[in-house]
Amino acid sequence: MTPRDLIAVIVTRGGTLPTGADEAVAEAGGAAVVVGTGSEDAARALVSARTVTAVETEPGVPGRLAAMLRPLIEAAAVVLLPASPDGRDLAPLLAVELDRPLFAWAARCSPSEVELVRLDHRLSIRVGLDGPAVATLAPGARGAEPVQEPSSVLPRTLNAPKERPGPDEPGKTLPADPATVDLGEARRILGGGAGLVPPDESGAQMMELLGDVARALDASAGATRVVTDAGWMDYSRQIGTTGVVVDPDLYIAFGISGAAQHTGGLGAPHHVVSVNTDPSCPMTAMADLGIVADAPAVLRELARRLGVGHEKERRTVPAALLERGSTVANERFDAVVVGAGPAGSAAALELARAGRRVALLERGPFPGSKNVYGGVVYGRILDEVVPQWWREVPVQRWITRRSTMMMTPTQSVSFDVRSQAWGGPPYNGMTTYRADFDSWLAGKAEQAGAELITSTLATELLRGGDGAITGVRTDRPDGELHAPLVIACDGVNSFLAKSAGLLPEADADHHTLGVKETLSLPRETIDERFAVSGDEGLDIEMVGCTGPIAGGGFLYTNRETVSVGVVLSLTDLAASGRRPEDLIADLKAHPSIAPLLRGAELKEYSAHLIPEGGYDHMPELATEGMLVAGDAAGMCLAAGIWLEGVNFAIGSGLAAGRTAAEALERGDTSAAGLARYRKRLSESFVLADHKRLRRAPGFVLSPRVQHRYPELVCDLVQELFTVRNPKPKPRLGGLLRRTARTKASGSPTSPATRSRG
Amino acid sequence: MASLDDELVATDRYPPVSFEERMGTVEFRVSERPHITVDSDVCRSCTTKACVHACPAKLFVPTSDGGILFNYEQCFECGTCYMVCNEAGAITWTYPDGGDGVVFRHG
Ligand SMILES: Cc1cc2nc3c(=O)[nH]c(=O)nc-3n(C[C@H](O)[C@H](O)[C@H](O)COP(=O)(O)OP(=O)(O)OC[C@H]3O[C@@H](n4cnc5c(N)ncnc54)[C@H](O)[C@@H]3O)c2cc1C
Ligand code: SF4
Ligand code: SF4
Repeated sequence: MTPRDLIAVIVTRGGTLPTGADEAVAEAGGAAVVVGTGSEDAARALVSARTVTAVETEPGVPGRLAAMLRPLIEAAAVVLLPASPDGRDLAPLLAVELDRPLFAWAARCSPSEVELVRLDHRLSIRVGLDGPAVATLAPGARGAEPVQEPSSVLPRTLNAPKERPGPDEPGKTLPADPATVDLGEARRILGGGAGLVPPDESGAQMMELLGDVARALDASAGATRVVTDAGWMDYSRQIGTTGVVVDPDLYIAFGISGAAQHTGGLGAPHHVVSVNTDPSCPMTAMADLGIVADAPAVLRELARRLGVGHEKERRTVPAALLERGSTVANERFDAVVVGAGPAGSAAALELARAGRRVALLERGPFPGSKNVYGGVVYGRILDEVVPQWWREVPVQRWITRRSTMMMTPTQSVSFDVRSQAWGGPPYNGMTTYRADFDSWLAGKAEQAGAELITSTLATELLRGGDGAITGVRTDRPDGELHAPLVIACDGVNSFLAKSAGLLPEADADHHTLGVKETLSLPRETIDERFAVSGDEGLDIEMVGCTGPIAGGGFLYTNRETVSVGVVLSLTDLAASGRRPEDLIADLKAHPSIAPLLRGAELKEYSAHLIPEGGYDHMPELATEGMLVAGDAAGMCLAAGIWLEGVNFAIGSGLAAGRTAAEALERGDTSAAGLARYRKRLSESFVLADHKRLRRAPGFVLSPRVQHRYPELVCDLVQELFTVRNPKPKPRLGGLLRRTARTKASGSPTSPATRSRG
Repeated sequence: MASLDDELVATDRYPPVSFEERMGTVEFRVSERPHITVDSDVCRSCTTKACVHACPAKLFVPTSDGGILFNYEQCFECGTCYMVCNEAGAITWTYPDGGDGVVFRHG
């Protein structure tokens, strides 16, 4: 054996080979040591081996095994083990025994270089070797080719050199000290914000107390930027998009308002508790348990009960603990709004502002938890909700670049607009996650006085003797909510509009399915690949990218993720036999898109329906005792080059709330009394846009737009820019006629046979 | 039919995200009550079986006797299945109880 060689070490139990054994042997060029019980059988079962030493031992302590194997392997430049459980146990001990570096999870390996795979096999890292090493090989990365001639198997027995001071038992696993553990790995975190520091008191002392309480709870302490900037806690403890990104099971926020910069670093904690005097701050809105109380007081009380810190004096928690959504119903309201999406929160906000008692019902554990969209909110309508909303809205990026892309499987032509004017107030569009945005907007409604009841499903419409709607039943015990007026903002699949007979039970022709992947990429990578910087972002809408299915695609940039998805006609999808996630995969593999997403890791997969019927398929908007708004009323423009619905939802919600307040004032909540709603919408962008674009859904989903136009445009532009010297450039007019002619005479690549629009 | 992604991955050598991993990125608070039920007897006479490939969560599995095996646990609550369903009465569709079911963080 020369020092340039590789050798594979395979641990066997009862003659069974671990996953990846042959791959490791093949990568090592056929040289292997098989060790364990049934080693000879296992050695003969290797198809890639040339020379194998079979060492029969009882499964023992890996440390002793390492010492035993030493003489057999120490001459090899690289000792390679499959990354099987036993292989991963033994590899570090071999590395210690041989005093070599360990390279875990390699795809390739040679005496001079290892190629490591990371991030779910999406990233590969080459590392040059300047000496001998130990490595583990990722199973499935290379495959194993069988060798023709039979391998030679040499059985050996080895004795552990007794005098060696190798570790005799697995080392003790020491628990990490929560006070110093990397916050990114902490399972429980107590976060401190500016609200934890009472005026005239020492911030550093409060944060020290937070640390003491955290330690008593086996948790780690973290803080917001305000706190670390003030020097009250170390920067390594700063949670947020500019600090550490954490992913705990439990997060308890003390006096943290929940700015997007902070919550953006929170990952997906299983449980969030927010202690804050402001019941409608975003942190409390996204919490499973909101404690409306003075944060320092609660922390001191906790410290006292846990017997930690320097808290000697006894204080009481000023406000009662308030568990979200546990409100006992069976109550009377002026109005019940079902659904805390943008439509519902806007409607509840208007009613509350008019001084009405309004219940805002949401089936999800927090507003936005059930909701999926592409990614851009066109926010101008928010002027009517909060002045200067952009100062507080949870934003990911402001859209300053918008592209519309026409695609064929191998070509694309983009229309790209960039406007720096969109990058400053009042802005045009912004990317944001619905969990953040919907929670924020519902918080505004709560601030105005609406009563948000989460984790509660409306299951039935209640009706009076005359048939008029008089409230809803919920899935809570005794959970009837009575009100002269119900506003159905329960989104697509609207159960309320269906039970009132306003919408058909199922209507595949007028709905599309949106499926989306949220993919993580480093912020700088997004900035570079999409040519944006700072808070700027890009949105791309695509047509011609969904193969035989009418629809479209979208790509939006968030701060550290990109949302990519497709919108698919349900009838085409049903007929196509293709799977939704495969269509996203096709889009992601398109030559225009693939380079933008290289190395991106899937963070969340999601799906949601879109009402796509447009103006002509909207339901009645008002009936006896009920108004319908947002997606429940089909107010959504999602055909290809537009993807708008949140703005229409807010617009219609506000109009519904206003109309409801007036109707309650007059004491007439009959259909006639609510007729002003439709008029109001017709005068606003909500119905005006839908009416103007009433033919858009059929048109955009037609074969012409889905296939003919993208092909025509792509071919034309391709011709225009193909340089065929010495031939001169073609005249534009002739080119246009020629391309149009070849397309009109039936392109073989046009699979669509749709009859719509 | 091999998708473009398969080809891309084949040349890239690394396997794509498996469907299980894909669904593993989503949080589900599984409720005890199945909010959707499928009557496999009705499905036996269905000629399209459109639900099988259209459901984005791949929850409809055809059985050897021509019926459907359905599992509600990892459901997006999207509504695609009942919209594309070919036979009246095959799918009974409701939302899960309040607080249960899917939770999107990046929707
Ligand atoms: C893939 C996709 C991409 C999109 N892209 C965009 C985009 O980029 N920009 C844009 O502006 N729009 C976009 N839209 C459209 C937009 O998401 C919707 O138009 C908008 O969310 C409608 O708001 P809403 O309040 O009417 O309904 P929703 O946001 O659906 O809210 C309805 C709420 O009601 C709750 N609910 C439902 N039933 C009940 C019940 N029985 N009891 C209690 N609560 C209930 C739900 O949990 C939900 O929170 C997109 C949609 C999809 C699917
Ligand atoms: S489409 Fe409907 S009837 Fe057909 S198999 Fe699926 S659930 Fe059953
Ligand atoms: S609602 Fe959507 S995710 Fe759930 S079973 Fe039906 S199609 Fe699948």
